[in-house]
Amino acid sequence: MSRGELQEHRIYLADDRKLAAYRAALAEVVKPGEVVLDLGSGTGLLGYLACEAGAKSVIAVDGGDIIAAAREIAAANGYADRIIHIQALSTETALPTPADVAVCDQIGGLVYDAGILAFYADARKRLLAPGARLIPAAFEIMLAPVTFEAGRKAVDFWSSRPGSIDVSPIHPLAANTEWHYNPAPEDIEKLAGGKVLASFASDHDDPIKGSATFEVEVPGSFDGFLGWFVSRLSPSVTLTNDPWSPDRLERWSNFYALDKATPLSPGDCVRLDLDVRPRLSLVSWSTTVLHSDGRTHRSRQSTFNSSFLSASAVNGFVTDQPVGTSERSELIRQVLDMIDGRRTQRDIVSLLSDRVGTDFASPTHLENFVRRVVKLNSRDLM
Amino acid sequence: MTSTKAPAFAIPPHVLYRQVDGQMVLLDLDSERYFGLNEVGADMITRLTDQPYAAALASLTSDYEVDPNVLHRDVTELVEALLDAGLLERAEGSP
Repeated sequence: MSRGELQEHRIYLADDRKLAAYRAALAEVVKPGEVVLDLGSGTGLLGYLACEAGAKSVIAVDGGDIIAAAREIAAANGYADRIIHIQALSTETALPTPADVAVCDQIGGLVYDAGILAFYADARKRLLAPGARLIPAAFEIMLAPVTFEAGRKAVDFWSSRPGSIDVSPIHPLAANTEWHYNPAPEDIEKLAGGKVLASFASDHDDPIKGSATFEVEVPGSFDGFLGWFVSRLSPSVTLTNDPWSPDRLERWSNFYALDKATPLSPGDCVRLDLDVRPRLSLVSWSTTVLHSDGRTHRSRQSTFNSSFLSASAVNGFVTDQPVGTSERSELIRQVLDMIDGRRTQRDIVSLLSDRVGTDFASPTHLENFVRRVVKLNSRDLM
Repeated sequence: MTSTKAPAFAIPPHVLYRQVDGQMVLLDLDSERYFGLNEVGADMITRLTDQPYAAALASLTSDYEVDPNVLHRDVTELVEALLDAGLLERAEGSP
């Protein structure tokens, strides 16, 4: 596990507000004796809270190696006999028993961007008992036009000349990027109040579309939109990453820059058309600025325009073009062919080392490559 | 009234597209499917959506040094395939 992953999980665990909200929601929703599915379980925190709320058992599913740590934590806290750990993406596995409740914190900064909608839509079809309850149950997506110097600078750096080098070819990419920030309220100013762009259930993975018109209340530079969510965990518990909310959880919000900063004054209007595609992990935002003097400015931006840089990266998308083979894919095929239930990783490395010549920097690099392929092949019940 | 100076075709609003190393990736938001065009296809579509039809054909014929009949057939096949897939639409005055 990397230092970054540990840090990420430490932040999740140390967020007392989130912990309290999920604890209250699970206590409200879980009935004694029920089976709870903890999706993207990480260290297993939400599963332990489900046990505390009376769950008979918890099925913790996570695709990462953190699940090994979760098993140790479960044992250290006396939950080892109540929690089943599965290392896999929930969309690529089956459960030993259907769950009565699912809980998940894969919400990202704007709901769509960490997978919860696709996970829950799939779980509803395949992994849950009829009438199962979801935590969170529903979301609202909210946005506001903002003056946000840090966000603007991050975009416009790419139209500057660092070291006299023209980096402006990257500016369109930067302007179409979704930026993640956790701003202090004093570092960002709303030009108009936030509006709800969409409300939907947490197992909704169809396109999310919404429009709003903002009447500018405060003069300032229109740098882009800040987006946040309001998550209804249970009938009486909500959670938000709204930077201006005193009850916000420790979570970034999403910044969608305008193509170029535009000064606005009261009397001006901003129209936003938002199109979120959870299945594609893609957001498009179309902006129309209507100045009170009749001038207009329009932009149409999308993370589609920032999501890849080279033709080889295009192979990462599902297109109708044949997928090309490469020396590396042939090598992966050879490793997979050698996995026969008898050979060890050491055997495979030894067999492969005769074939790869000087393609790898050292035997250790070859071993690491084989380990990665074997790991892909072996994700299963732990 | 139609203009002979206007491009004959357009990429419809529900299609996002982007050139990458000369190739073109198109995303049909209605079907949420990605499509790819190789360099020649990308070049054809770029010109057809940027120039009047006759001018696009003339410049392609000149730049690729190809028999005009062969080029016309190839362009027609590509355009029909893209029209069928909803990745291209006719503009006013298109052939």
